[in-house]
Parts: sequence; C-alpha cells; structure tokens
Amino acid sequence: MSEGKRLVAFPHMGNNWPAFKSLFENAGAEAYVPGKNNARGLECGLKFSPEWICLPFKITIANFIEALDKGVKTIVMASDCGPCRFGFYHAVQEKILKDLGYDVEIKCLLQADLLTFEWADLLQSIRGTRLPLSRFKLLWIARIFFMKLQLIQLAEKLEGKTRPYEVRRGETTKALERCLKMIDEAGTHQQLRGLKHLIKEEFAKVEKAGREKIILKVVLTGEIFVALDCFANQDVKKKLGELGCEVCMGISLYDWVKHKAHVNFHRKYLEYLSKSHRDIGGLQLDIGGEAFWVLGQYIDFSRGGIDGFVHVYPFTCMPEITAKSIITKWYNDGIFDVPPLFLGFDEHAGEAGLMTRLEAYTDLLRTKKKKLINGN
Amino acid sequence: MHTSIKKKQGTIGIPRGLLYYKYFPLWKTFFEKLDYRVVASEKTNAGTLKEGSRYAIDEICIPLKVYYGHVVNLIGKEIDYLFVPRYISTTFGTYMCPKFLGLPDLIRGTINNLPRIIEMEIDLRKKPIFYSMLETGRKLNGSFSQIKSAFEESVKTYQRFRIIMEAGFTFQEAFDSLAKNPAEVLERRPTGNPVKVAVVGHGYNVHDPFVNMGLIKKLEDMKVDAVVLENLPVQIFRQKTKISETLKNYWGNEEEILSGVDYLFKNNLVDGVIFLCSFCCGPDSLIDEIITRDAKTRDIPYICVVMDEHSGQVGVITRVEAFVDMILRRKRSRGIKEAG
Repeated sequence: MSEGKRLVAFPHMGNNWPAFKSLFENAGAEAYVPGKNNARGLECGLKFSPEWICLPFKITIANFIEALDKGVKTIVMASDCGPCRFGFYHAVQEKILKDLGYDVEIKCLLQADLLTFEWADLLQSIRGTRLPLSRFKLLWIARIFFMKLQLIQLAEKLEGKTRPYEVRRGETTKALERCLKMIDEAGTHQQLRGLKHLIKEEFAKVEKAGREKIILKVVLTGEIFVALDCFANQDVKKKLGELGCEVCMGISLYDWVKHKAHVNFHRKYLEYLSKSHRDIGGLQLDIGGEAFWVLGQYIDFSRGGIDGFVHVYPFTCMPEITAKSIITKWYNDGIFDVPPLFLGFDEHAGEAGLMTRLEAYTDLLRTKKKKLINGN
Repeated sequence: MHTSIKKKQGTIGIPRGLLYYKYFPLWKTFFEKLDYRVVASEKTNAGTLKEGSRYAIDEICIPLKVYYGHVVNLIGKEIDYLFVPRYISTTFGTYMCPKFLGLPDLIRGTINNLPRIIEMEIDLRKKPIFYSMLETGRKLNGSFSQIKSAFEESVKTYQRFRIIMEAGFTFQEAFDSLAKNPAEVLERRPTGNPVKVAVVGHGYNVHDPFVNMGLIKKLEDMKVDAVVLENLPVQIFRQKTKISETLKNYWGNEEEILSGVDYLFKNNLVDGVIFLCSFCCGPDSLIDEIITRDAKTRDIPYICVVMDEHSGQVGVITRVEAFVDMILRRKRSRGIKEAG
C-alpha cells in the first residue's frame, strides 16, 4: 500500500471497538471500525450465511462485507479450539467471501489460550513492515488493550446502574457514548488512568430521580456476543433499564480475556459452584459458550441480592441450551428461587413481542418484591 | 434370553439413542463380561418422542428428545443402573458436540427419580480409553484382571462389528450377526442396482428408522443402493480433515462425515449424496455448508434433508424421489452423450 500501512477490519461487538482499534493501531496497522450493527447489514449477511447458523456468524459476516466493500483486504477474526461452532467461523466465512469473489485474507486471532502468545504473531503479521515488535512494545500494547477493556467494563456497569433512575430518557446512553469517545481518544496509560474518575463523573452528572419507586436488580448474562451487542439482543439492556431495572452485567469482554489469560479467579469460583452441584446436574466441564459459568452465576446469585436473571443466547446455541435446560428444571423444582428469563435471538426480530415479555417479567418480579417488602 | 448359572450383579439400562448406534456392541460386551445384565430401551416410536418432548426443552435437537424418551422408557423398566456416557473426544485433539460433553449433567439436571447413573468419561485428549473403562469397571466392583479381559473382549467385538459393517450391512443386520458364527455372516447383500447413493449423517439419524422415516428401506424399494458411512473402509477416517489453511476440523463426529464424503467424492464412488441432519444441530449447519460447496465444485448431486419432530414422511419421500429421478435422468443423458 502506498502509505505502507495495512488496513485491518474486525467485527463490531458491542462497545468493545475502542479496545480493538487501539490494539491494531498500536501494532502499526490502520484499523477500520465497521459501523454499528444494523438491520440492513444483517439482511446482507443473511443472504450469504448457512441457513441455521447462529446469529453472531450472520452479523460478523455482514461487518466483513461492509469492510470489504470499503476496500479493506485484511480481516482479523477471533477463533477458538472448540467445542462450539465459534472456532469454525473464520474458515467458513473465508470460504464464503472468496466464493463471492472478494480478495480477502482472514487472519485468525487464536484465543484458546492467551498465554501461548499466538496473538503476538498476529500483531506482527498485520504490521506491514518486517521490523519486529519488541517485547516491551508488545507488553505495552497489551497493557493499553487491557486498560481500555477495563474502562469499558466500568462504563457498562455504571450504565446499567444509572439508567433506571434517569429523569430524561436517553441521557445515560449519551453519557455512555461520551465515555466511549474518551476511551477511544486516550492513547497512553497515564491518560487512561485518569479516565476512571471522568467516567464516574460522567454518569454522576446524569440527573437522577429519587428512589421512591421499587427498583429491581436484574442480571444480564449469556452468550458473550449476544449479551454485549445491543443490536444482537435488541437493546434488551436499555429496555430493562427503562422498565425500572438496575441491570448488572454478568459478562464483559474484560472478564473473558482475563479468563483466557488464566487470571480470572471469579470464574474459577463459578466453576467450583457448578461442579459442586453435581448431584442436581451442575456441569462438570467447560462445554463451550458460557454455559459453565452461567450455571455458576445462577447458583451464586440465587443466594440473594438480585431479583431476576436474564439469560440471552443466539437461537440454537448448543452450550447455552444445555444450561437453559438445567436452569429451567432447577427453578421449576424449587431448588433455586430466582426467576429466570430466557431470550433466544435470531434474525427474526419482533420488537413488540420482546417488549411484552419483558414487561410481564418485570411486573412479576415487582409483585414478588412488593410482597417481600410488605412481609407476607 | 439365555440365563446364566452365575448370579448377575445387576441390570444396566442403555438408552437406544445418540452414540448407541456407534458403540453399543462395545458397551454391551464390556458390561456383560463384568457380570451385569444389559437392557436396551425399546425401539424408537412415536411414544418415545412424545415422552422425550415432555422432559426436554423445546429448542433442543430431535436426537436428544429421542434420547430423553429412551431414558424415561428405561426408568419404567427394572434397572439398577443407567448408563449415560460422557464422550468428550474420541481421537486426539478433537471434541464432540457440546451436548455430548454435558450429557450426564443434562440428564441428571432434568429428570427426577433416576436410578444410579454410570458415567463413562471418554477423553482421548487426556487419557487412554482403557483408563476410562478401568474407572467405570472399578465403580461396578470389577477386579483389574476382569476389567482387562472385558476391555479386550469388547474391543474385539467392536472391531468385528466394524468389519461386518464394512462389508455393506446395515446397523441392525450387523448387530444381529454378531451373535452368529463369524464364518457364515460375511455374505454381502446382492447389489447391482442402477443407482448408488450415499446416506451420510450421524449414526443416530441414519440408523434409526423412526427418526429418518424409513429412508434406507424406501431407497431399497426404489432400487437404489444405499451406502452409509460405516460401509466405507475404516482407514479413511484416520486423517484429520482440513477446513482451510488455518483450521483443522475439531469435531469428532463431523470428522467422520467430512472424511467419508471426501473419500466418496474423490473416488467417484456414488451417484449422489443425501445428508441427513436434524434441525438445530449446531455442527451440521456448518458441515452442510462445507459439503454443499464441495459438491458444487465437483458436480455431484447433493441434498440435505433436515428432520425434526414435525417432518412429514410424505414430504421427505417426495424430495428423495425427486432426487433419485434427477440422478437417473442425468445418468441417462450422460449415457446418450457417451454413446453418441
């Protein structure tokens, strides 16, 4: 290329784009951030995807087609070693795109085990020059990436906490967008360190009503792409917030990356919880997706502190369905008493249907909580 | 049923679903050598599916619903143990579908009043198969030497079973002939039908006549030779299939389908391929895409039949008939071209 910089695209997953952008830009490539996922893109993705593949495949391939039409030649896609379908994504997507006539190179970011440092090879290969990345530089890139992810996690957490109290609708969303912009613009770790307070201030500035109405506390968890991407889950987080629920995110990309780097001790605890409930069907090993930890979280949260548990997943997701079966049975048998709500998403979106379900769910939770407060 | 003089230690129930269609001879021999009586559930029927759907959630795939039905069927019988294996990987570096990985947990977590579950964890990434069998045998109070001989015997039986299948028999025929004298069984069915079609897919779809609505039988009636994956030589399944430059297939079950189809395509052994898969099956949704593209480039007729509990027999038969007609016409026109 004329400037010597390679243009690299990556899938758009929720609010995590600033972190990936900095990752590739710091490695010496130019990052192309696909626009927010939308219905038109999805329609385009649907045309070329297998019929009953899960939703993230369809959305990510739409991202890629958008990027390729803009002249991008290199795409970075994460990959795993199984057992769920995710590991196949990049290979099949490459086949499809090549059959469509695009000149594309899909590089896979192996995330099976981050301590093998395969990602360093990837960063080297998208650099455009043969000058090697020094170890110091690699660590620095990783540090910025981790810090950004941590800040995004913080912003998402505060977003969920603030929304039910906001006076003017939409102000929290605007605050979140301002935060993401700040995270995106900050380049050094000194700047990023200062951002923590700025983000907290940003959400503190949102005008809040008093606490006279009953605010519910709901956990949103499930498959990572659908849980984090607000187009994929039809903005379920915002909808819950506007119905008066404090939404606590059970998952974030920071959490996931930490897990893949073997330093997520909270997840180890969740694994232990699931394993120790062997007699009633707690999963014994990671079966892909988030099933193992979703079960752990459900057990953990049923010990108190929350009112509802919302589990989102792409329709036909193999691991999450396993978790869903088990949780459904636990709740029906009265082993745990947090009411779960399961939402499977695919391209057939019905806004009103989802809204009705959420309204009914929050009504039920509210009645339950009122009874608890009044003491009968 | 032949009664032995020795007192049996108990009865083990094996549900007739999922990996039953692959490993049942192995399991049966193993448990029988350990002095247990083995009972399989009744053949799949409408009742099985109905019972299964009561316990399984709506979104789960049909093989699992059928499996649930078989488990419920077994609970009704007098069994002391229920055998639910946990197959994690069957070759080095592969995985099974996530639902196999969590199968015992799924069954334990969703059905009440279960008998004691015998869980055999097969994980060839971490431990050899004998080790897993030893663990299972120990739980069933077997001595080391007993388990060892049972293991050897069961592997032998399984190998014989595979050889019989390779000779071109269906699952049921091969299983029945295991009890007979080895010399008299290896007699191939008469072939020579004009059309030869491969029916590929998971064993629990291909070998269960209820789930696939008697497809194999129907093909025979149509004067079509049906080849199933187990009829192909064993050694072709040894290599791992490459999906692309960067990815090797990691699903054990799908590995068989992919390498089998690859073998059929490369050697031009069949006139067409029918892929049986169940609705909601995760891996198959991708495997179907890969085979479709492969078949297109190699110009071999290919059809994917998706089944769930609502599929009508007529619809499937019509599609398969049209497919066979298409192959016949194609053959005829090619014959005319070659002659002319």
